[in-house]
Amino acid sequence: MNSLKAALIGNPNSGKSTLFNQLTGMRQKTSNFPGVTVDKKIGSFNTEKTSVELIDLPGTYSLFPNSTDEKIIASVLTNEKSEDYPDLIIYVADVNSLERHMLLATQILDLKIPILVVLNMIDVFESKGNELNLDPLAKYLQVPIVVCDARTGKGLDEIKKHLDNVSLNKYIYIRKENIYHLTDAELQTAEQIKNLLHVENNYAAKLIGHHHTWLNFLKVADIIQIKSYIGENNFENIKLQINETMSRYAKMQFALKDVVKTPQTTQQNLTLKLDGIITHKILGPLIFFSLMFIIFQAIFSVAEYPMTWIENSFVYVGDVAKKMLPQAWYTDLLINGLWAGLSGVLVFIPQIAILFFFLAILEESGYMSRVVYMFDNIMQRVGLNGRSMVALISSGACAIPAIMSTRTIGNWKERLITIMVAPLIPCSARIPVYTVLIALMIPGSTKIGIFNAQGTAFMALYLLGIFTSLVVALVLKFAIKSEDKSFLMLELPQYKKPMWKNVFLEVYDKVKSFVASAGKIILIISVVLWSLASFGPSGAMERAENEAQATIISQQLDDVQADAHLQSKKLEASYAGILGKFIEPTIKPLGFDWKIGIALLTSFAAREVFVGTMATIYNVNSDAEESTVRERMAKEYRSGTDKPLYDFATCMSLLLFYAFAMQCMSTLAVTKKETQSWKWAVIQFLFMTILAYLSSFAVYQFLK
Amino acid sequence: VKTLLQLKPGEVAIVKHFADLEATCKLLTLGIVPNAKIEVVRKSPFGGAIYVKLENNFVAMRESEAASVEIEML
Repeated sequence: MNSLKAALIGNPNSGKSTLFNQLTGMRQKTSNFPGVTVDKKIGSFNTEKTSVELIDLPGTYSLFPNSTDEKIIASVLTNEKSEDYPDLIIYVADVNSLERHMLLATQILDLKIPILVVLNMIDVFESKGNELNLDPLAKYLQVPIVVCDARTGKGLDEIKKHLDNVSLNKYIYIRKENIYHLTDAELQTAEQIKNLLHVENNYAAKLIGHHHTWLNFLKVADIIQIKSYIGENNFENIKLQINETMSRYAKMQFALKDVVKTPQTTQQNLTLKLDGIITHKILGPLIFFSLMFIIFQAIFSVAEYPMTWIENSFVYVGDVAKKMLPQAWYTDLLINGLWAGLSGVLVFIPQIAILFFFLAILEESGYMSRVVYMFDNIMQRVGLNGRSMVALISSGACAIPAIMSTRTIGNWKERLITIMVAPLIPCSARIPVYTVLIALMIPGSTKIGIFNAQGTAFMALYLLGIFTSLVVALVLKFAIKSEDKSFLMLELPQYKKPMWKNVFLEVYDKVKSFVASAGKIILIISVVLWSLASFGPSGAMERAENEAQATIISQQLDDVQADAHLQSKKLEASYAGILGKFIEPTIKPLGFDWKIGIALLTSFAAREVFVGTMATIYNVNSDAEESTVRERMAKEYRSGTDKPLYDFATCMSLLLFYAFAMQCMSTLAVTKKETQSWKWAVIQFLFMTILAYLSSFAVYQFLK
Repeated sequence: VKTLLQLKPGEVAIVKHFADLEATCKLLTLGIVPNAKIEVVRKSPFGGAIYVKLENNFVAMRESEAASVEIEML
């Protein structure tokens, strides 16, 4: 069997991902391109004679890129040594706007990389009464063309046949002559770059000339050398880009003039009609906010059931295992450390899956582009781009994919601000913390007018997060200096029914990466926390136990009270207790005691650890009478008083702390990777945590 | 010279020249090329951006970007 490395390339909205999913199905994995966090999707499948590794490259309009993810294509295709350099490019074009989609194809033809041109969405094309005349196009491109409809699977077999053929007949996939003829300045520069870097292709060398400032495979010495070539040849970067693009279009317009026959009767376009409502001055924003409201309602109401099932089954299995296993330290570690930690991760899956399900539909249908268009102006005022909306909405699930989605923002400053404020939008990890604290603060039956008071409090916290992120963005807009021009310039694709296979694979991919990345951290934290809470300096734990036993006897406590007393004394003597006591003076002004201190410390790894930590600290599992963490917390008294510890002021203070503090190591890691420096990760950590401390301090001192 | 910004919703024109080099690169890749037919469909809800229709596709752009597209009325 032959092996073949193929790459899928095409404009955004060309149906590239659908073709990828159709060809590879579940046999795909996501990794990163070296040095950047842009997703690299690799799938594999077998044809009759070939085992194919298929890379799905980000969508781009030309080899003159605007944003981080578009730059990937130019840097892979100009570097023959790249591990992603393909044996064959499967070029996907939307046959419904052929001219525009062919621009990038003609650039790739000039690179002399074998290419198979796939004209996609033929069903839509034909349903409009159009006719396709392939001959002039084939004559012009001089490489094989396949007509396909990725959604229905039409043409897929023909593509596979070509994949078998390419290793035998490589040269029929390469156009002999160049389409674009280099000007003198371009040719001279290209020749010099070819000699310098041992590149073979003229056009590749010219592209390196255009992009030498950011191509990551160039050495510093090479960059300096290329700069001098550019100076001496009067190689005017942008002018030459425009010149080349115009020349390609002019040739193409001539070559393609008889390819598409459009019927005379022009029917009213459905997308145009729909947009009359969806992007309407008043209805547009109204529809958007209603959609958001419905989605987040669904996340809370629908996800509740599977979450309860997951929690209950974990508790049940844990109880059974506890009875079957010997009473020893490793049983404790297994049940109260690992098993409880695992439950804490898996319980989030329903919420994350539901949110990404809706996001995938919004993206797939073409609605997200309309959101970008409608809100661009408002986003501009606070220093963001319309495209930031996509990231801010995703932040409602998790800041990590949100920060990664900012790579579509071309302007560096706008992208940076989006990355900085995204973690302020309440993510799903805050939901359990908010749930517990709001329930402690407000009885479930309380109403504000006709609304449930707890639900309103939740809503208020969301609005607070959104508002704060916009304010911080505004501050950063004035704090960060940048000369880069910002653009909106966005294609509004035709509306289409979401393809369920794409939606499903997107949700599956997101859940998988959440479990893998967040899961690891939470598991480690829960084991570390268990150890810290179970062990103490030598002798201290025994002393605590003896003292506790003495108190139990002298005060004649019953079994339940005795156990609680013993556990809390042991915790106090443990390393975790010592750590909590150590930071207690700093957090006392916020209304927190050392036990909350432990939860705060562990939460810096990930917020969702809070509830689990509380369960460990208050030893909920071993306490038969108290089934939930919340009930146990409600019975906690401020030490030395008979007032509840979790009163209104403390809960408010804790809520604000969790709303603002940067308590997520994974987010910091992604920020570092995306901004390519620790500087912004550190700034993000500091500003959020300081904001959290000050607002908790203010609210506690005011309310107590 | 008239620019795309001066076009009212519903009006159709032909693209002639571009005034801003950097914007030109991006306009070209979206199919806004010399001699293309272009129509302003509507303005965005909060202002600042317009929705335009080309032969086969729709594009959103800022008013500042539209101001760099020189047109000739049909």
